[in-house]
Amino acid sequence: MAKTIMVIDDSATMRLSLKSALELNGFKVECAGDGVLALNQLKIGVKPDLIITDINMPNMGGLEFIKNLRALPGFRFVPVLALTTESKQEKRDEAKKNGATGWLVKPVTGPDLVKVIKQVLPGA
Amino acid sequence: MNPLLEQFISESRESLQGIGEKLMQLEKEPESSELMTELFRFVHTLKGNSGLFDLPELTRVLHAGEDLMDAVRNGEVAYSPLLADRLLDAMDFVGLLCDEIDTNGSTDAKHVNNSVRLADSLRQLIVVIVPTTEGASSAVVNELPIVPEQPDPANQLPLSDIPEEISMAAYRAAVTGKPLHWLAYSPVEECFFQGDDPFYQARQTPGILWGDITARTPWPKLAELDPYCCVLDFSILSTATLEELQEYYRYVPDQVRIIPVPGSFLILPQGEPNGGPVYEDFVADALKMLHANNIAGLTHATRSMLDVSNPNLWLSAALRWLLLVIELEPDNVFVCERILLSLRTMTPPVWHELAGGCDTRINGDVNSELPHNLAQEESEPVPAMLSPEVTALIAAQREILSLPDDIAWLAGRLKSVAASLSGCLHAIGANGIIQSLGAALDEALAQRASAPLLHWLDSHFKPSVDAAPFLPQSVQPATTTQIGQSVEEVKYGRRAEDSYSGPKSIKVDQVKIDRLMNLIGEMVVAKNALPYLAGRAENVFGVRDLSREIKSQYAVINRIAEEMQDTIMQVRMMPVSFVFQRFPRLVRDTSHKLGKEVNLILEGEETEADKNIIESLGDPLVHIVRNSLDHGVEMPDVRRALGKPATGTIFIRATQEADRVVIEIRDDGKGIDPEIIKRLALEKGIIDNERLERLTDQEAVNLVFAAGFSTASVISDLSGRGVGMDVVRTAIEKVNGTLQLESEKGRGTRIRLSLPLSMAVTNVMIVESNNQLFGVPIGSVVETVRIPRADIHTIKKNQATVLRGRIVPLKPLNSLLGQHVPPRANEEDELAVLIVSLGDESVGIMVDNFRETVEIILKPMTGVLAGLSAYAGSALLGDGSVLMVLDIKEIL
Repeated sequence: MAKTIMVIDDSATMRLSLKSALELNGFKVECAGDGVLALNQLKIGVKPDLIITDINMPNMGGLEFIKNLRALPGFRFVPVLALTTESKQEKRDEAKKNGATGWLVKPVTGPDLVKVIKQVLPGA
Repeated sequence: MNPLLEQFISESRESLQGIGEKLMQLEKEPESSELMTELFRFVHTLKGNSGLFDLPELTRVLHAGEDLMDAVRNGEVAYSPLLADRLLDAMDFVGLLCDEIDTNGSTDAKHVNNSVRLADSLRQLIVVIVPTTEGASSAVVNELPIVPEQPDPANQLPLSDIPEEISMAAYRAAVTGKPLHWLAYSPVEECFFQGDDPFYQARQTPGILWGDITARTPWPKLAELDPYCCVLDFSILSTATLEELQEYYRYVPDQVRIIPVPGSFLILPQGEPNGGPVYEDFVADALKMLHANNIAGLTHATRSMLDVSNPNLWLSAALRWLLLVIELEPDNVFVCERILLSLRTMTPPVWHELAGGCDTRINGDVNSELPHNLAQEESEPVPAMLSPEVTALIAAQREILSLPDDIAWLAGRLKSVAASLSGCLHAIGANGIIQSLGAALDEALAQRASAPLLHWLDSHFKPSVDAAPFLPQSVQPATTTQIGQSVEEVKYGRRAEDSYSGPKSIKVDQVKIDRLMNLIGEMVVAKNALPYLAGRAENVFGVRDLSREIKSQYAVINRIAEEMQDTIMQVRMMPVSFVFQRFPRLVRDTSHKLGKEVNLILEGEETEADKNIIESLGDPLVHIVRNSLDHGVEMPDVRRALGKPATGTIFIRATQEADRVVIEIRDDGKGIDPEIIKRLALEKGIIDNERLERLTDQEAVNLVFAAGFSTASVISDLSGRGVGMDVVRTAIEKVNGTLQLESEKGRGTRIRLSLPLSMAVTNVMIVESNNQLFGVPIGSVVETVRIPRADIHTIKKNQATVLRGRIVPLKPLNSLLGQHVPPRANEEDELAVLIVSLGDESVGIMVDNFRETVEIILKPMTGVLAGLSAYAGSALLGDGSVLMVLDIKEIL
């Protein structure tokens, strides 16, 4: 079974870019425009094996999303990668504290992305 | 252009629009942190996205913008209108680049300079400030020059701009002990929004003697001019004390420079430089009298000298100054001497050098050369050296006179030209030729022609090259108050006043398009009620004329509805390149991984199809291409051994055939061995021995599409993730597509996908059974036949008939739908049979009667009804009744 990855980013360009990069590597990709939309999708049964989320988004940002995600039954251990342009250590620590698995700095290229995904996603 | 870039451009345009709006809102509520955060996100997203592409110019500016907005968001830099301006400028630049990418696919290298400049101008503002009570204006402080006390800034002042009588009055004041201050007031551009009235403020300056207003930059075109932006500098000469001035300008201390001016600095004689006798004798005499302290004699000599001189001359002005100095400060020998010496050189005294105590200018060589303009011939009636203003004015008059004469108001025009010219003559002191101008005007009026005036103009003012162009720039004194902007500022023609060229596409929620699609679908169906109505009018009510009218009206509505439907479908169309664009990369990466050499050829990328079709095409195509790479194309050495070129070829082509999109994927690999397929199919129990015998090679290779079939004996890394070609088939069939596979062993494989252009409209054939109507998708209907009851045989409890030498099993629709009513035959005892194709087989479905075929919008079953797999969906008919459309595969 192809692994499903959920991509959360408010920029359609970023979503398209990640989606095509991931699909090229054989992943199934679900997209959401912000934290709220992503949570809605998760609540109606989308079951990603990995979530990649942007941090700075309208309505619900990445950090808040991760916090909410961890509170959702069945998503406590789903790996979450934060993908953003911010690279400040304090933000990383905050994300870690909220339950992020890893951190990626934009712009990330396909091979790099896959390398990180392989690290956090067993069997990919 | 590749869709990712396209997406980027369209999203960037939205973001730019958003940035503009947010900045406007921030103007109103500069404290709103929410707006600030949103603004930051826009810039942040833009920058993040630009990083995906190789657009260094764009990224540089956006990065600077992001850093700036980050600082603003964190309160490190206060928001100011200046910041907004710079950001908007930068965003205009980004917009310009986006447009360029949109048209050319790339940006021009020439933008590097602008990019660096804009990025710098943004970064300049990122100066961590100490919070002050002044708020908005505090950020501006970085911009305006805080002039350190230079040794004597007064010597750079344009004091010569001050008219003589005012200079003299100021000098008088200075001599009587009043302080003299030069005040340069540069209001910030957005001062009007801060409640300032710079003009009033300047006019009311205490002790004002004189003032001047200059534009900071050459005036832009009227369309680009922002009337709410103050671009004026005020220069004021005042006799108020420094304290008074500081008190008066206490609200804008950062916008004024106050420079003390020594009185003597004002002694700058002004006037016509040429003409008049040479003053050498007078200067020599006067110097003698001065040193002999013969003030009365000096005064007298100066007065008489002044009497014989033209008062407009520079020399006369110098003499007047001399008189004033003698009158006010008779013992200031030094200043008098300087003025006298300057009479020789005809250059203004250089006071600040004297103030600095540097006396080098006083030496014997002052008379070594005569100023060249003194040597000028006196006969010239008009001064040869005209100020640029006069030159421009004269050129303009010349231009007016060259216009065609055939207008009713020519007389008025001529008079106006003459008045302008006479004004010019007064200004340059050439009063002597005004009379001849009057004569020329009279003549011109008499002849009703411009020629006499033109002739006069030519004879007095030679049309010269430099006089010809009317250049307002030369009139505008432009001071360079802008800091760090030595490069001329470029506007990108994107001010709100400029012609607005909106984005070429709009983004619409897909739900809206779908809604529109549904509505037009209903419209198409509803219009079908009209022929029905016409029928009723004729048959039931017996009004034939009305029936005909309804029919003709129907034709009109039909045409419009169809056109509308076409247009809406067009909106949903997407080029297949959306799917194709991922293949070059896929093929490259995969073939590298496998150690194969593959050349990919794509054709017909511009072919369009409905969005849903295109989207459903993606996965199957990737699968097919992977299969070709994995199983089709051989390793280079194998290929060479077989006498094929080492590089394999995969060819993907999209074409439109009638109302279908056909996609062909061809490779020149090893092809599929039908024998292996047959054997495997038998092993896996997909076919039985009996069928195996009858199977053609072509049919055999198509078995790869059967469920649970995978030919690769070793599951490779690429394909064979548990999804085989049957997934491809299912996906294609889901959107009413068909696929065909042809393969020649050793030569390659060819897969042909045929998909409908759009899935919105379905053609169904209506059949009647047990007094109910059902729809059958036309795609599955092979033919309709009427079979005499006698030809129906019962074989093993199943009914069948022989049609053209083939046995066709027959099934009554009623029993398929669980109704135990036998099918009805017509008067000739024939039964209506609908032959449908089911994979490779044909099945006859016995119905009561055939009806017409109609175009319908198929709506899938929803809710509880979705569980009824026998129905593909429902549709509305013209008379408003609901038609259930059968899913033939399911009911069989």
